[in-house]
Amino acid sequence: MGGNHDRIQELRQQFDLGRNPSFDDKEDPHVVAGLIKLYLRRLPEPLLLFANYTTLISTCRDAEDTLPDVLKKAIAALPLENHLLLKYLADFLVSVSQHAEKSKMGINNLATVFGPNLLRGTTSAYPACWKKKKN
Amino acid sequence: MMSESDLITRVTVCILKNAATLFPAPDDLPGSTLAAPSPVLITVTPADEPVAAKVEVETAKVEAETAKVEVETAKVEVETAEVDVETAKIDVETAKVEAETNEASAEEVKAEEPAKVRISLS
Repeated sequence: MGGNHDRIQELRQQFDLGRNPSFDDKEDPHVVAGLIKLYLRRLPEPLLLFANYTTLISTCRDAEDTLPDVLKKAIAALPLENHLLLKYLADFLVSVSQHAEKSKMGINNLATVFGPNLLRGTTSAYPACWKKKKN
Repeated sequence: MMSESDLITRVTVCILKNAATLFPAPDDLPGSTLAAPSPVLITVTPADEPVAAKVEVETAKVEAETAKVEVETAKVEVETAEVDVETAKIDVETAKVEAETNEASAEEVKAEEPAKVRISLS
């Protein structure tokens, strides 16, 4: 379920103008989630970097059991800002997944929603994946 | 054969399932002096800047208009208050006149009373 588009844009504009809007418990969680996804989606380069795309995708397809090691190396080589944000986000999403009984957002569903915002290639941009899924 | 989007999902699942072991401690990061993630700011991309500036100008315009309206409202409120004061003054004057009229009537009644008594006695 997506958050209210106008509210997401309003908050985004406030951040872009250097303001720091506060979120109270009345704020729709879907709006906040939508804002996080929008931020990740609009990064000039995905959090996991274009350079890691091919390696990670091919490892996942051809040798999934080695994926954790490959990921560990890729994450260790990330720029500090990417590394910290990815760690923060991963910890946060794991904590969200612990409420899956109520929210239905277990690790698999969260990965489906956030994955395309974290990892994409230069040629196969994520919107293509989405279009493919929609069709 | 898994689709590209399925593979992306699986990579992400792997990150989430192994989050505890995939990330080295902050102190072990090259060049890191940070103990905790710094706040994440959404930066303005070059394409957004003109839009953001326009929005800021429009916001300033609206704020100026709002300030004008507030001044006008304040003026009207002062005028209304002045009218209220005048009305109160008139009410006081009216009350005085009524009181004087009542006094005069009472005097008249008093003056007439002996005649009535006389009439009743005769």
